[in-house]
Amino acid sequence: MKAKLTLLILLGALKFYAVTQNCELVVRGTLVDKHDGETLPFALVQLGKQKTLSTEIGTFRFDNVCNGKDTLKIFYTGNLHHTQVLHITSDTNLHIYPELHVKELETADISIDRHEQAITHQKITEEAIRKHAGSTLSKTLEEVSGVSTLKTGNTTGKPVVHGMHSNRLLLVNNGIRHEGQQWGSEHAPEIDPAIAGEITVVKGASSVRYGSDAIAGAVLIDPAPLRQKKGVESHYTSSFSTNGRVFTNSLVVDGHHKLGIPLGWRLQGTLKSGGNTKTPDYFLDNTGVRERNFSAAINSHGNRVGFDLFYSQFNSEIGILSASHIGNLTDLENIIENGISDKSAKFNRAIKAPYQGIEHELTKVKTYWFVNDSNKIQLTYARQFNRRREFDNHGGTASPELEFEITTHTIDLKYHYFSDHDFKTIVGLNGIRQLNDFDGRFFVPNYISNAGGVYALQSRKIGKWHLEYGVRYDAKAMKIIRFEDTKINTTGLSFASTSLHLGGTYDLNDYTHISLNSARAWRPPSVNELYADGLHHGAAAIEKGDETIEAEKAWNISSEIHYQKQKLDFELDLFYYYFDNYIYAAPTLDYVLTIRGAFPEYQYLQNKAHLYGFDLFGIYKLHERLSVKNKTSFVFGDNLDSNTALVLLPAPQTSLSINYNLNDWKVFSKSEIGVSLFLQPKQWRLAPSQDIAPPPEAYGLLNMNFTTSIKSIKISIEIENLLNTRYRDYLNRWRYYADDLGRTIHFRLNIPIN
Amino acid sequence: MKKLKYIPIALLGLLSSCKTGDDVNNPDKENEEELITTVSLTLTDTSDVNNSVYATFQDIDGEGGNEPSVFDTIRLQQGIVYSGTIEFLNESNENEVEDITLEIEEEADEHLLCYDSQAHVDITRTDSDGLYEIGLETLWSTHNMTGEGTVTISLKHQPNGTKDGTCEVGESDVELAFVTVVEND
Repeated sequence: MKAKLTLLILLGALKFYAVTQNCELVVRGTLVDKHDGETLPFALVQLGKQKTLSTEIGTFRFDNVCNGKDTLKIFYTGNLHHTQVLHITSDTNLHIYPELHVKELETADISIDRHEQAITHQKITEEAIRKHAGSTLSKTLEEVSGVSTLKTGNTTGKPVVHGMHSNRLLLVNNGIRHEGQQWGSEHAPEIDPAIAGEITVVKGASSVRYGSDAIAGAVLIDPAPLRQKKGVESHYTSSFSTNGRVFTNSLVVDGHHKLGIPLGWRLQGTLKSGGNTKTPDYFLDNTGVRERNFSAAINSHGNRVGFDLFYSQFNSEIGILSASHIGNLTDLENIIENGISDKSAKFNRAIKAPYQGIEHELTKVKTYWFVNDSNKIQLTYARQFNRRREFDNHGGTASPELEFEITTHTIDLKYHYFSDHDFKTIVGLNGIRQLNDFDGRFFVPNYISNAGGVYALQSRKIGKWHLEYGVRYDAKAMKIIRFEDTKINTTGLSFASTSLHLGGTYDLNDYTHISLNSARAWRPPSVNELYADGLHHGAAAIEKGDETIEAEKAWNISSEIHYQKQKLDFELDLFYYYFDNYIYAAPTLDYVLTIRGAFPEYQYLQNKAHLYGFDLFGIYKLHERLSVKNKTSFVFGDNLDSNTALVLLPAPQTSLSINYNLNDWKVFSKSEIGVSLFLQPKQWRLAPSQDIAPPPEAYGLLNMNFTTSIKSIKISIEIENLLNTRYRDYLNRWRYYADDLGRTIHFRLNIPIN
Repeated sequence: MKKLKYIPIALLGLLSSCKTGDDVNNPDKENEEELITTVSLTLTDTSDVNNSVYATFQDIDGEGGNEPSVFDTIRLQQGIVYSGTIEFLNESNENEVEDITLEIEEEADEHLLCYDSQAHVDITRTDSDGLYEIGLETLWSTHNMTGEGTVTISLKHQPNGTKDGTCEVGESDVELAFVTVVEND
């Protein structure tokens, strides 16, 4: 009774307060999807402390709103999509267009806006990804200034950022650390680029955020968000490349249904088939490729909880240029001196020995819980299985000469805290268990490894500074299982280290931002660096690991200036890395006697080293329709103990392109034509003793592209190496044996099916 | 359209169809396919069958790892014609020695043995695959001179019709430089 009375009094007081404040205003509105103009039902709308769900036709209404300033937020499927400050003086009717295509908060990490994230990162949009349909992932990444490709022919490419790749550049596929046999420079990432809706290249040491190995940064491959509204839509992408007559067909079907809970889903598949590719003068025998990839995803986002399921398979066979499969040093010297002996190869789709067969499977389960508006917990588990089989000239296709199977389990627990006051925190725990099993010729041993990490990251806004800092501790234990002499030998190894990050972005004005970053990153040595013992076919070298090699530690400082105003968009990224103990393979000047003759011996060593350089990107609009674009990057690296240049760094490169937007003509709209010139000098910094053949000469390539649309169908034609220039690239391992590709015309088509 | 409702359920079904993995077996002793561990050369005096010379190269664990255990010097007498045969074995598994020579004979049109003499001996191939020589059988004629040099024996794999009788094409499966001494009785 007493309680009721108190409540009445309180209500009375409130009523009185309300009158003086005028809290009887009505705020109404309609939510409309920015992209298709349809209304948005069942979104959570929050005004100040009041909350409501939008109706089936996307409308919402708040009664009893006080006059004054209040913040309106729209949450859809658990994610914040729109924030707006309202100055309410009278009844209001709003039309709101929330940006639904923003990535989910949890994958966007700490922030969405690039200028709130201090570390340099560049995004490749879905549109740009489709422009490279049918190309390798690495080729798509070259869209970003400063990314080059370490190639073994044209179907195997690994991205290189700041001069580093493989175990120094982490790939994060769909939020999961990609784990295959990535230690091998000829082992390309087993990821179908058609899965990606957005790719982010994070440049600079970022181990705190992503875990060990992210010394040069990370490449984040994220699928487009699943459909959030009822219905089904599909996209068909097809491409044909003249060189190699490569057909790539990809279909994506998206849907959303209510089966008790709202379910978004996607089915995606890619088929690719290519044959012998051609230099300006001759076909490269056995350079075909096959890919069969598919993925399936389902998710459900409630207002508080949600889950994600994802499964993908990547299956490919890659032919290895017959001429590159040399038996010994004499063969290699022969081909370097005389070039490819058999130039009579014809076009052929058959893939024969030697070739590689690669399979990769990813299964992922993710769930999250918004405890309240500022606290979120997320748990992710994933399993990856990778099988790599290398078929030699002899064994034929029946049994591989070498087979690796690696299974990786990862578990990731994350806690996010985000307040309204530009203050965000992430605390997390990671666990990884990995099992590696090989069959056939020994190159690296079997092992079981267990690793764990704990980290904390915070970002906050102080005046014109966005600061970001974090710390992480990782430990890894490995059990190596080897056959030595006559018995099985087991060795235990362990590595542990701390990663640090401190960075900030300063807003000089609305269009100039400067970031400064410093970080310490590390990686445990990879299994080949510890235990390799055998012949590296193709390189004609015996590689020897060293089990006393320690974890590699790097310090990185970088700075970025970004200016964007009207006609000019300009970005300069400067970087410096210092390594106490950079791991690399160096020739010992000894020869190892084998039945195939004597091979030079390479031993893994550690030395002090540094890497430095810059990446530049600029677009200038000369005219409403005409723009020029430049991408330039330089990277230098030195072994500071021996004062020699580091091998396998890209030579400086620059590309200049001009784009012109054409008038709409008949059914054609959004048409654009562009020409670009790519220039690369010779990698001049190496001493003759550092490589079996000198780096190739400088070269220039002219490329062209044309894109247009007929209604919602996108069409593009791209011509690479328009002048059919003969060239060899230093970062292509096949440079020893053959010229690089001649003219290639790509035809691409993207058709939405509704 | 209604049937589309079942797609998410079908997707769940898909998730359960995994490839295998999750095991680390104890590694076998090396069992490389087609590994050649041993090359044995037998040279028999054409005028005296009881006078034979043998030379062997043996590296049981293949390239890398332990060093070759046997690498003989070829010791010949001056002014003699020897008939030569050569044998290739995979002895990596002692319980299952494989004779690779048989395979070379079977695929004679894809293989060629090359003998490069930098010693006082001339070597010629005496066998044929019907079109080109093979080199499993040879004649070795020593000069009337003594001295030390090398004879480099290589086995070339020349598949897919690339065999043209020359040593320049193909991949070297074997390349051994035997120290060769020609002596005076």
